[in-house]
Amino acid sequence: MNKVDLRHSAPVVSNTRICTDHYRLVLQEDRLASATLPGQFVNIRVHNREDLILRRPFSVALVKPEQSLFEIVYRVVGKGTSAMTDLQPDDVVNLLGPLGKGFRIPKKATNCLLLGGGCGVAPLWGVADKLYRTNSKMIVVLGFQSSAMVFGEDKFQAYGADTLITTDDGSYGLKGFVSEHLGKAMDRQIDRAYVCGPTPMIKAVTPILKQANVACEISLEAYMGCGFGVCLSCVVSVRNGEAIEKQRVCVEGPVFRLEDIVLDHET
Amino acid sequence: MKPDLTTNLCGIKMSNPVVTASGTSGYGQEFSQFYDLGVFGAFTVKSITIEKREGNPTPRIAECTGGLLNSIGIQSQGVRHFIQKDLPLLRQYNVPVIVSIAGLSVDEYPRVATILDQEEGISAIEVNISCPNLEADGCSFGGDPEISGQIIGAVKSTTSLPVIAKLTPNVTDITAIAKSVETCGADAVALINTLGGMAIDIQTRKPKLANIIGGLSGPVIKPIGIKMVWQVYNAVQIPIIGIGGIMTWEDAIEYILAGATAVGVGTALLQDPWVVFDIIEGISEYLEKNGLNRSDDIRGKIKLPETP
Ligand SMILES: Cc1cc2nc3c(=O)[nH]c(=O)nc-3n(C[C@H](O)[C@H](O)[C@H](O)COP(=O)(O)OP(=O)(O)OC[C@H]3O[C@@H](n4cnc5c(N)ncnc54)[C@H](O)[C@@H]3O)c2cc1C
Ligand SMILES: Cc1cc2nc3c(=O)[nH]c(=O)nc-3n(C[C@H](O)[C@H](O)[C@H](O)COP(=O)(O)O)c2cc1C
Ligand code: FES
Repeated sequence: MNKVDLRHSAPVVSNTRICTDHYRLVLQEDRLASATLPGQFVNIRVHNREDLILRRPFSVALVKPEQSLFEIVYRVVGKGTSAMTDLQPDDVVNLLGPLGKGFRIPKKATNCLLLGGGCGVAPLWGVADKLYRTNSKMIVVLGFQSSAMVFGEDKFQAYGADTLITTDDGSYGLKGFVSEHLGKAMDRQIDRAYVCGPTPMIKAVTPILKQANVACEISLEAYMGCGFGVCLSCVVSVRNGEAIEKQRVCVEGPVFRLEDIVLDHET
Repeated sequence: MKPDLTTNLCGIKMSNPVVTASGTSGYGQEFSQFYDLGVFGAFTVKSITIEKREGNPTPRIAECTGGLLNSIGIQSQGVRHFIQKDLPLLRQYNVPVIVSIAGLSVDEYPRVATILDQEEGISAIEVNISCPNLEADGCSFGGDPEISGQIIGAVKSTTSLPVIAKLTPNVTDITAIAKSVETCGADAVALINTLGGMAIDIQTRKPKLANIIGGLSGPVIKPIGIKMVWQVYNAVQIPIIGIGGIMTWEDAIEYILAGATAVGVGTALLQDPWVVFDIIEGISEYLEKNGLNRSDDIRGKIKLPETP
């Protein structure tokens, strides 16, 4: 059997602040740039620091295989992500990847809805990049806390997507949550939906998407111990036929089909 | 000359002294995609129970400075599933398999062991007595020397395989437990399991683990593991698997100096499955540099201050 080596040492190309608390980290690694699918993630060992025992998982936002580049967008929330802001060009990042299962992208042109919230917007870049190459129509709805947190709008527009922004406080785009403005997008013909964002957003949009009856895939987050399936930290309840079973976000996910996900109140 | 790393642990013939610590390498399926499991001296699987168990709610893991809190709660598919689905894969590798077993009551342990005893390809049974005793006060079996001994005795009577007692450090006197399991027939002891711990998010005021309390592992617990291995080494004759916070080859050597015959790597494998290669290589180089042929030559050989 062929063995997989998930270890990579990827030099930093750039690490730039893109809006309040959010950074875009571009790394160079040929194998990852060519093998990673949208929705898959990497697990970063921050500065090899001995006090930070666990790696930090981040979805890959976009790959550029021709240039051996891939990028992630991270939000500074704690010790690890604060330390990552110190990364300078030519520093080397220790990471494992690609991990997990990504989004399924149809081969033929399809009408797609992309729904993102916060740093969950970034992995949808990769989805848009692939859909663009299939000549698919894209409607993109993105939610942020406020204008200072908005990023990525231009990326989707460059792929020719119809892009709608909402902010919780109305300081940019439409005021309110993504779920409140989803109705407008749902009036159009939509065959597939891709969702990535914080858990409250996922909970709010789930009923609307279920009712619309579109094929929908959602990327989930979980606290992870290993990222490759051995520790059972990251389990969620998932439907498998009649049964509900525990599956690992890091191996069977992070992308799940909407109809398979069992939310807390359903168990 | 390259040192000879082969190790004999209560009859288990190992190519080197480095084993996996239960619960940090699953049942071998994932690691076998990365490399040949034969690199390990022995492969210890995650604790299995008689019936299927769901485990605890999430979050099940939380990091703390230099350590890791977990409350996985023995999520297990049950012993029959293990035999049908996992054991065949492990048999393909040239590595001794240690099957860790757990129970919610004293009599569940011998029931699991009886079933395992029928199977080919198992080198030893490790008895995880750190689980909470749900029939009594919910404290772990492993906190009581008598119950610990009882469980080991019961498992011994069901199987001819070597039986390893995995000890919990959440006790006042680890040597009392070690002596009791030795008297009741344990062929080796493995220590330490995780230390009871808890962490609170001060913003939300919620415990970081859904189970509220959990077990602490990783580099922060190493000094406790070293102390307990040293104490047990001086209290019993049976060999010891030293576990707790081994991240590097230096940590492994420290455990061997404290009295361990083999060393178990846990949390470090979650961080980097490939670290095992560095640990084995490092042990070999250390022995070579010190003109030693076998790790047995340094086992328990710490230089104590001279007493006047
Ligand atoms: C599959 C997956 C993809 C992700 N993709 C992204 C991404 O593209 N961009 C981004 O900014 N963040 C992403 N996250 C969340 C990111 O992993 C955490 O924000 C990050 O680990 C926080 O680390 P810290 O040291 O700064 O925080 P601390 O709070 O200091 O971290 C302590 C521990 O908690 C864990 N943790 C904290 N918050 C989270 C969280 N929300 N989810 C999971 N674990 C957490 C950390 O990994 C670490 O083990 C993703 C998480 C998962 C599971
Ligand atoms: C995620 C996780 C799961 C564990 N599961 C088990 C288990 O099922 N049975 C067991 O005996 N020990 C279990 N342990 C304890 C380890 O085997 C080991 O004794 C402990 O983690 C200390 O070693 P370390 O510091 O190298 O991790 C687990 C530890 C971790 C971190
Ligand atoms: S994070 Fe360890 S199993 Fe998913």
